[in-house]
Amino acid sequence: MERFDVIVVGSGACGGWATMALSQAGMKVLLLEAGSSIEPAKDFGHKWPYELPYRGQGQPGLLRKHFKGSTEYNYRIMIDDRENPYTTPADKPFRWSRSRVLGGRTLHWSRATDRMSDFEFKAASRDGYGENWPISYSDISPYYDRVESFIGVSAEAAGYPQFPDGKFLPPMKLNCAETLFDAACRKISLPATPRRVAQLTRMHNNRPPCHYCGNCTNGCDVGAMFNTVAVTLPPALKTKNVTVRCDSVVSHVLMNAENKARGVAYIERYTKKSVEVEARVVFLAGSALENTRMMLNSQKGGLANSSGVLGHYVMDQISGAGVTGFLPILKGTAIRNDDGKAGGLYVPNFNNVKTTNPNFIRGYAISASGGASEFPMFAMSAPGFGSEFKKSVKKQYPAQARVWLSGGEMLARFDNFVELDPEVRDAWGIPVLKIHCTHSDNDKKLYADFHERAKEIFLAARGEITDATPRMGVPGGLIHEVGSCRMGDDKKTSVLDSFCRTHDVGNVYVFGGGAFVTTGDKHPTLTMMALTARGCDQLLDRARRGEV
Amino acid sequence: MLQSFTEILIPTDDSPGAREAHVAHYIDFVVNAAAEYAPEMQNEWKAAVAWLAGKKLDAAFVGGLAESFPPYRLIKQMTVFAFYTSRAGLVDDLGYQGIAYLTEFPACDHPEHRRV
Repeated sequence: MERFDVIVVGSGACGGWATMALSQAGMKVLLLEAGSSIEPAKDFGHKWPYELPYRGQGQPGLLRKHFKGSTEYNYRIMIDDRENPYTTPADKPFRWSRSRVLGGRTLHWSRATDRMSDFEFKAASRDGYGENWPISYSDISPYYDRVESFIGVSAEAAGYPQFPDGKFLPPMKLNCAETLFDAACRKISLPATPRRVAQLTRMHNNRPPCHYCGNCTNGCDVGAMFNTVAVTLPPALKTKNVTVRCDSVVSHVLMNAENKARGVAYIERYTKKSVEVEARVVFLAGSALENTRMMLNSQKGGLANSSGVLGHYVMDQISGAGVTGFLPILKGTAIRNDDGKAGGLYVPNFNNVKTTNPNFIRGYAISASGGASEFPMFAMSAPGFGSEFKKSVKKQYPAQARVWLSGGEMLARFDNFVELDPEVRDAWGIPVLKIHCTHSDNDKKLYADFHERAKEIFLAARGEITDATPRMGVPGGLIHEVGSCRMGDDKKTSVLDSFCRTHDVGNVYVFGGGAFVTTGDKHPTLTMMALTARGCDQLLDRARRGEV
Repeated sequence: MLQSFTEILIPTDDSPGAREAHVAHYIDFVVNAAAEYAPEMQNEWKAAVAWLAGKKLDAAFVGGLAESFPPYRLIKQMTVFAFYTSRAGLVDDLGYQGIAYLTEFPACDHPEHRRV
């Protein structure tokens, strides 16, 4: 049987980082990826809607039914629910949007790269709800520095204590609509700064800067945005210590008699052949819920689950409809390139920071943008016809504007959990997850508060609101699903320690959003990567001391 | 028939219209492809086209229709989508500037946008 020092399961943001960090330190790494290999320079590129058969929407009904959260541009690297389903109780919908491809969701993510703060890590101490994280900002900040410096983050140092600054490249510049919203936020005393993105504004680590084509979520062909394939994998491969195996669907962790992991079992995606591989250490980095699925499928009652909390405290940040309309000052102005860079204006959380909100605990972040973005969505419901209609669409096109919910904190609750569905299996015979997740009262109040604030920002920008119907998103909809394998100091109430190593099985680490104790109000990816960097450091320290 | 109707909705004037964008052809293609995963859409479309049959297609007829009337709303939405995702609609008419190669993002340079 093949033996490696470390097996890394999953090649997304965390798996890619771990593979790089360990291989550079001399460890022999096997990187297993369930999806196919990909070459961005060849497989991605600029595409006009009219170059695609269905203009970006996909064959009618197909994506909505089977490829959740995808577009015609990227659905081939997303999961087909018919091949890899999941279930929910009928009254608890959960929208789980997943990729299987080398690089995972880093290939088409929104690139928002935020630091969490002690307002989040230590929120329980402030308001008495739930648990604190076992780390504080000072523990993770050196790892934020390290990850940011390597991947390249374009941002503005803003000095907000609830939204710590970091190692930044020059920020993405604001377009006209965003500049107006920025002024509006200042007028009503809300914090605001350009969205922080892992997208280069200048040459960095031999990667070219962004060329402002706006195709980011369809896949970046030049590696200007952070993704595993362009950024963390090349230095890893250069070490010659890495074996990458795509189309390898891991089903479970293999255990030995001493309750240590001895490797993993995977199924070849196309031949369906079962394979076992061994290693001294196993890293699960296949996304929050997929990691938990593998752990539940590894041992009766779940791997490393003496606490009984494995699978519990599933969360996804709160999403939902925002406010759309026009900024009249921009009507009839010359058409500019407004969506060449994505991101918009970011309004970091301001609730329960300096003052206490009497209606709910925790907070949310808002985004705002606008301008002549590709398709004039408003035209679908605009009245009239004929030449007048065309003129009116063109006049309003550069004035489109929207304010949306970047993410609100969903409270961690034991009742929100995943389990293996006893009846349903995927195309490889692996039991699938049944997800139980609903919003709490606090979650609903927080969304309602966001909606009022969104209108306030819109009106402060002298905007004209055309749609402000509140509609809370389905859990999972923001694709910030975290929890289900949380970290903590007490092994009776948590699965992982503060280095993302399981309390019960000393040679299994679990990286990704699963470790999160709370969702916080920031975008989660940078924190996941920083936790991975910290866990890798600890493993390498232990290896140097001969403990591995 | 469908083609004449889409040309009333989005006429060719000083910029291209539904005709140059081949809107009717494109709608035929999409509706045909709906059979597999969205048969309900195909049925709605058939009903809308049946309603259109035999009507005198001119501006006076379209002007008298309520925006919310389901057959009209469906045909209009399909027409608007097909037009503004075509090269004729998106580039030649609207003047969309994206999907370019730029060395710098053309940021807002209006001092009047810094105050509201």
